[in-house]
Amino acid sequence: MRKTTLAILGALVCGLLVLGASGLVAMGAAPGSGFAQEEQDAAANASPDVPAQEAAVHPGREDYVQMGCYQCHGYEGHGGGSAGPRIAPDPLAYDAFARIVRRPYGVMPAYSPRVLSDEGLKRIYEYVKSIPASPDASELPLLAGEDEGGSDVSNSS
Amino acid sequence: MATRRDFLKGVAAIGAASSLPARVGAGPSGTETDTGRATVSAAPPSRYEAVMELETPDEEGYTEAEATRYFVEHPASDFMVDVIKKLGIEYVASNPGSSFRGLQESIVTYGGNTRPEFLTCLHEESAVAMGHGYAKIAYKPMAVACHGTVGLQHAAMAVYNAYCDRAPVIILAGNHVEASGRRPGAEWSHSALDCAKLVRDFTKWDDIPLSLTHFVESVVRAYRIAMTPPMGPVVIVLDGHLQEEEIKGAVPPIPPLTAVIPPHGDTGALREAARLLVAAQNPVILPGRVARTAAGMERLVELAEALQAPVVGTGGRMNFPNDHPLSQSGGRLIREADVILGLELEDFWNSVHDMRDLPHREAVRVAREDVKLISLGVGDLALKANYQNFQRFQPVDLSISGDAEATLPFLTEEVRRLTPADGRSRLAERAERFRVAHGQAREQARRDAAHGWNSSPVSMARVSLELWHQIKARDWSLVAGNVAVSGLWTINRHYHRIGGSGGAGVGYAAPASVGAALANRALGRFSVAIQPDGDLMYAPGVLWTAAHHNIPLLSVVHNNRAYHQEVMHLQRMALRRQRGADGLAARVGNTFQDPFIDYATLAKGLGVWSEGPITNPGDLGPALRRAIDVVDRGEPALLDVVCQPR
Repeated sequence: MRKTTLAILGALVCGLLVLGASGLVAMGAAPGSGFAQEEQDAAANASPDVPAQEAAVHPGREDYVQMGCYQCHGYEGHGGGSAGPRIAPDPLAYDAFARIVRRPYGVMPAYSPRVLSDEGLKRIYEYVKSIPASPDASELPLLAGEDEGGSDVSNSS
Repeated sequence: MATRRDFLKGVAAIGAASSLPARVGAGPSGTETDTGRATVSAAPPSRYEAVMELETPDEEGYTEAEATRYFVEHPASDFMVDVIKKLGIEYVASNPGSSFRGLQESIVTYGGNTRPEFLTCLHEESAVAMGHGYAKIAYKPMAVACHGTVGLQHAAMAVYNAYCDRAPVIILAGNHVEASGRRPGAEWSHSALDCAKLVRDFTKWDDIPLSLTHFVESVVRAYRIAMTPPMGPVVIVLDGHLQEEEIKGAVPPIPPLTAVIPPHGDTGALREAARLLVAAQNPVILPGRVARTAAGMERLVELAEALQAPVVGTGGRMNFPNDHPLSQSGGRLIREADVILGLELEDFWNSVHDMRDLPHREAVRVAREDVKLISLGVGDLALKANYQNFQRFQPVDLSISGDAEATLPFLTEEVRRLTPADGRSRLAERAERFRVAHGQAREQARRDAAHGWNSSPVSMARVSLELWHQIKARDWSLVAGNVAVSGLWTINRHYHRIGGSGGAGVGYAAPASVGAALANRALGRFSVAIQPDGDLMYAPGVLWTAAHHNIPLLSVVHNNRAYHQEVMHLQRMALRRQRGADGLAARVGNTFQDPFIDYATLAKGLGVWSEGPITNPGDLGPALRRAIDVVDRGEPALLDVVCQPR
């Protein structure tokens, strides 16, 4: 088990190290980001193919937004390209998750207990853990059957 | 009857040598007018005026002396337009100003406002950035007219971007050098002794021609310098007096514009580079601003295939097709490389190091200590001291000065010549390894894109895929912005992407995309921009320019309601100091809230079709279809999409 955790941790660390070369990144908080109400309105008016966003009302979501995790990892933890890797769904085990938040590798800034309490960190983790599984790419019309295209994200400019 | 021209032959010298005192009120001899009010001038008629009164009026009622005083039959700026036409310059983008009013009038009336056409811009920064984007598609410079000191200062940031991005732009800066001829007031504050000094640190060349012979030679020279790699902006200070003067005598000949042959790398050094590359077990190619044309991309493909070496993009230009198996991402490849070839690579140091944004700014080398580094490019040929856009110095094993696009065929030929027959199996093994990795990366990109698919704000992966679905059957050109899942787009033409601003000066994307779309219009391509919200607000008036000149362009606003890079920087500062609990530092000064900016309404006010803000991802596809219909009619369209931050 420990070996598996370390392997996942290692993979994440590698990802963050690579991100460092881009010169981008930070992880932070922006309460009152300006999105919350509008996205809930959008969810309420969503078309049938858009599931209601149960995650929006999770108690840990406020901490997630307050601490600015969304800035690099997206509101759904889906990742922000070169800014930050995907952290949901199916996040790391809590110990590994907490360790990275407190003592990150690469370019992610550290969230000390003075800034983010242990309780707040746990609430954020619970929110991340609650994010539902992503749709299967093969079931999304725009992703299924795409047989052309390249592979890298940087070569084309 | 003597014509005005006949008179000029004999008497112009008298008029030219005479003073021209103003006579307000025009009463004879400065007495009283019919209205009984005293005239301002009580001076006796000048010699000039005396001549005027003696002459016989022409058919239009003017004496020859009057005609000389009031009219200019053949202004020098007409000849300037002839020169611009001869160079094939299609457009003069400008925010108007009196220091080049002579040229502006000549462009419109004498030149028929075609080739060049005067493009009405609402800010000089927009005008230069339009020229910047245009040059990267049209592969030739646009002219930009700037109004003296004030116009050039407005233009300066865009000039710097063009310089950093090696984009040719010919800037015509109006100015009045001869002080006694300046009109009082603004003409003084808009003039400078050395007008081009303001931007000399980040232009390739400038001149102040004070005769037509000097003008024509300088403009042709400027064109050649701008187009010689490394390309860049040049400035011709356009004397206001010269523009408005009568042409004296025969006009000078316009020198022919011969093709610019880019500098070629040393053949001996290239043979050594080929030897190192062929002997390498894990060669990697890092292209920067290599491909200017389709040939540039084809040549890089040939070299990569000859070596079966992965090509890792670093930004700058569309150098290598991303559907080619050798198109790869960096990371492990850089760490394992034994030879790295940098082509027009702006920042070699950063390619082999990783500097993390930590309190002590640690830097670690990511490449092997024994890696051989080869540099081929023209970066060292036009460095200047003050502005530090040349990045940190990286020692290399072989540094070859030469234009990469022009030099690649010779290098590839040498690689092929040196590759042993028994080395084919090794190349085949590499090819298979990268083919597999390429496929795996693509499948990973597909899975990654599904995450956050239905989120609101809309994920950038969703934006990218909705857009791709709509444009992939077209001859498209992404003229600004980044694609979140570019691996799922097929990006394999040199105009599919055109690189960024160069100097990272915000405010580039909107005007550069309009300029590039203008060039694409003539080529029948569909232009699309993923438009950063903060960038748009620097000079949104360029949307009006796009509408006014019927420039078809689809702009999809990546509206994250912030200067998000700065949000992240400020959050980093607050966390580093352990006082980032409430996110205040990140929010203040960096976000667009209270109120939100309504980009769709803004665009409508500037005459551009628009919709938004779109917050529901399900609404995006239908909105894109409506917007594309508008663009297909030859107009710009804008969609405001409230997006995830990244």
